[in-house]
Amino acid sequence: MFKFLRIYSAFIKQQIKSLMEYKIDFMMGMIALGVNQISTFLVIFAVFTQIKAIGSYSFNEILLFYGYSQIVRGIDHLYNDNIWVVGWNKIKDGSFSNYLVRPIPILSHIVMERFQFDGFGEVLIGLAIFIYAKINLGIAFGLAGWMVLGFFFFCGLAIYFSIKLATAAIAFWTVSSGELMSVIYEVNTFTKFPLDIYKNFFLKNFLIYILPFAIVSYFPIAYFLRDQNFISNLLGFRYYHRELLIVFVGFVTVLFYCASRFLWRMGLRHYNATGS
Amino acid sequence: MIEVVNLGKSFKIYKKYEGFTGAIKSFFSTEYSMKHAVSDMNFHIEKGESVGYIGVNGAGKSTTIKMMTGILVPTAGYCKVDGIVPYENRRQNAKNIGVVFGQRTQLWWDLPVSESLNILRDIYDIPHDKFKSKLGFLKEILGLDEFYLTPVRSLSLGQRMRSDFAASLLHEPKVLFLDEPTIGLDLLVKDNIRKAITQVNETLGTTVILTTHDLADIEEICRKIIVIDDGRKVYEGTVANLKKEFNKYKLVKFELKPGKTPIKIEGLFNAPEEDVKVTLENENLVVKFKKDKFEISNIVSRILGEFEIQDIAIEEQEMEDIVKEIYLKKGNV
Amino acid sequence: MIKSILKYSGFTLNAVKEQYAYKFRAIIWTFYNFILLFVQYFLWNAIFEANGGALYDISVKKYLSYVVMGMITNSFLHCLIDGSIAEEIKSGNVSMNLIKPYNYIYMNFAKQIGYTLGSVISLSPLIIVAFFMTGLSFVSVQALLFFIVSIFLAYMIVFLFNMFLGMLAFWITNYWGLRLLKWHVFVIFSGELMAINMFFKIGNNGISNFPIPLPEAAVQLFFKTLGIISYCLPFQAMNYTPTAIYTGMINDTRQILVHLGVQVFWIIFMLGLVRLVWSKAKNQITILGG
Repeated sequence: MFKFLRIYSAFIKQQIKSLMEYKIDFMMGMIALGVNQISTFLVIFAVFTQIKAIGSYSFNEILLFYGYSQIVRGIDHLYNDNIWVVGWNKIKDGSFSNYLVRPIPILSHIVMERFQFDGFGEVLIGLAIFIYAKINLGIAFGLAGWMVLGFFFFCGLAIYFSIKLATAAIAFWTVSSGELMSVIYEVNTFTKFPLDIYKNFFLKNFLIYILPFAIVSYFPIAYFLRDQNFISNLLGFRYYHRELLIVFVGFVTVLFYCASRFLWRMGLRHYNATGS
Repeated sequence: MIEVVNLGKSFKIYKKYEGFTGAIKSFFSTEYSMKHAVSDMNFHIEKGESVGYIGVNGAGKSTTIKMMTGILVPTAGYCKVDGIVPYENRRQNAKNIGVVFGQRTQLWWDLPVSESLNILRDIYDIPHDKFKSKLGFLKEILGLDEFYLTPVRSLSLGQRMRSDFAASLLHEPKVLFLDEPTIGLDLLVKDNIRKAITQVNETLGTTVILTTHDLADIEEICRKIIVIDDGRKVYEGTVANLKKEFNKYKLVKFELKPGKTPIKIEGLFNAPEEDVKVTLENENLVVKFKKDKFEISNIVSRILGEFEIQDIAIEEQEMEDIVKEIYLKKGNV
Repeated sequence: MIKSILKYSGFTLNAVKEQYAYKFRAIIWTFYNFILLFVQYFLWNAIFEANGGALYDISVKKYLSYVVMGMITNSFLHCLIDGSIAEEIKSGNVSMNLIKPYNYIYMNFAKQIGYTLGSVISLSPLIIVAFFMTGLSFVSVQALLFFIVSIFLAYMIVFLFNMFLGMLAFWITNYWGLRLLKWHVFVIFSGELMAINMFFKIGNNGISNFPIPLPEAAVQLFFKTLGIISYCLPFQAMNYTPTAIYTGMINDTRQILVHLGVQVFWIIFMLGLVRLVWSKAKNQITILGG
């Protein structure tokens, strides 16, 4: 464990150094990411000059969803960006073999190899919006609440991880799966806002049961803002203990995580059999 | 150290169709043919040996190397490296081996060489003092100092190769796999790398396995040679033996006086063509003959008597020709 | 004229073929566009419905047509020439273009036309789906004709602008940050995020429900400023103008002509800029040797 931290920090240190090499470019990139963060926020801002609520959600509630979703997305962006390179290039150009001749687990190696500072923009702005909205809503989570939120947070990261891993694994068969990864990943844009404002039956169920981005930020925040009747309607089945939502989220996460690991393993076996 | 037993690797090659409808057809098609990249491979390599593994493109060299490094899983037989089955115990095996692929780097593109090596130190758990002394040794034999702080992407091919080579040796691997380590390099760098490999092999006792197209690599580095063709072993033995066994010919080149190109070169010697062969290359008359059938003095005097000659050169048959000969009569060895 | 068209048509043809070589990729990107379309569609639908089907005097149907039409316009105007030029510069291949007997700018334009022609097919499913979702409310023949003129002008601006950005790589070497900046600034000021006239409407009509305690004047000024900045930048001429003309958001003939005039201005301006930068860049190549 200690060893991994050392390797990771060595990689991070190096990345900071090479970023500094292209100073102007880096600055422009950082500004760009700031602008990107502002843009969705601007829509919320503009809309709420005229409207009190979207669907059943007030300004601050919308912000709470938005802020939280950006924190999860940002953290994923920070630590788990190298998998993109695997999907786009590593198998195509054969450099994936390098992971196979090293004495550390492949996935940890992939994760450690790159730390994407871009994610900080999302995390910081997300955090600021989340805190602002939470204060204005005047909700207190309590210790138990925070622990639940922590669990949800962990599940959200795991969902991102699983979806990226599974789509990257496709590259073991198709040589490159970057396009597919982008398309699937882009679906996460829906998590910025509470799912039910879209009022679309298909979309709702798709995001809960097929590509479970709803697990990432929608359920966690709805758990704190809405009662269990509301969530029952959403899930399409009734349940009688509020805490069962936690179990549901955990269950879906574990399921997805295992499925994606399985797919990855199959892909790796395919790679071992064909070498390309 | 390395044990290869009945090793085989076959690939399914799915039938492909042309065009867009063809692409859909290929997608659903289950028709395939088998390609046997490696079949019935058997050999043993002792600790400290240096072995050249040669064959034409597509002969199965890289496939074998990939199986011994744990990248590919064989479809028949097995191989063991230091008692470990590489594709079953990938990580354990990785600690024991060093790999250099001439075609691509294993270093990190954006990092300086120094940092790449530092990260490898952590990945392979090398103690600091050991790392330091090892690095000193490698720096010296490979001349890393001049580009030690340069990012890998700005290195020349030769510098990159030397860095890759250093990277593969940091953790004192018991076996070093080199897949075409001199490809595309200039003579000086080639020489440097060859010397370094020899030095590592001799002073550290590292077992070296090397694939190459440049037979000079083999002559300078390897004591033993394995020739494969079409996935099968066609020769295994020492380089000296190979020469003795196959080097049956000698070449004499006669440089003709300008404007004295002969019209008739056939029938100069009363012998079948496989014993002696006369050809005309540019302004030179080349005579290739079997050493045990002719004396060199006979050849020279016969030619001098017939043509006006400016200069004479005598050459041993080159390794390349020997290997070509092996390929041509593969399976008969 | 015909001779020079023939001379450059080879580049166009090659670019079309290149697009066809990656069919799988094209299919996937069509899906990508669908997802972007759905996100925008459902979001704005929800927002407008929350306000009883209209925001200011814009109906939900009209605005959704605007959003969807904007996406179609965007994909039609999609231009990757900046990246390919930057790549050529970084790899040094750009100097090869100086020894060949053609104009570098014309050549890239011919290529860009090829890419557009090649991608039109993958655009059609998007148009069909968009049509069924919103009807793409057709306003009038006049609007359609102006739209065609406007999108043609926008095409030129987009091309020249990307040409300009790509050539900046001569001075900044890495083209990661600038490209990102282009994308994200474009979203806000091109009308992709929301129609430019919304900025002005918020600025003029006042804010009735603004949830953060800020002085009304400040918020109004902020949105008005955003609108003014939009008109100072070329991005609105690349997307907002044609889309708003088609959907009738800009419907007064005089206003349409003013917008077209602004587009023509940007073309002339960009043309001058590209020529200038390219001549400087040529010097750069001959000094540095590419």
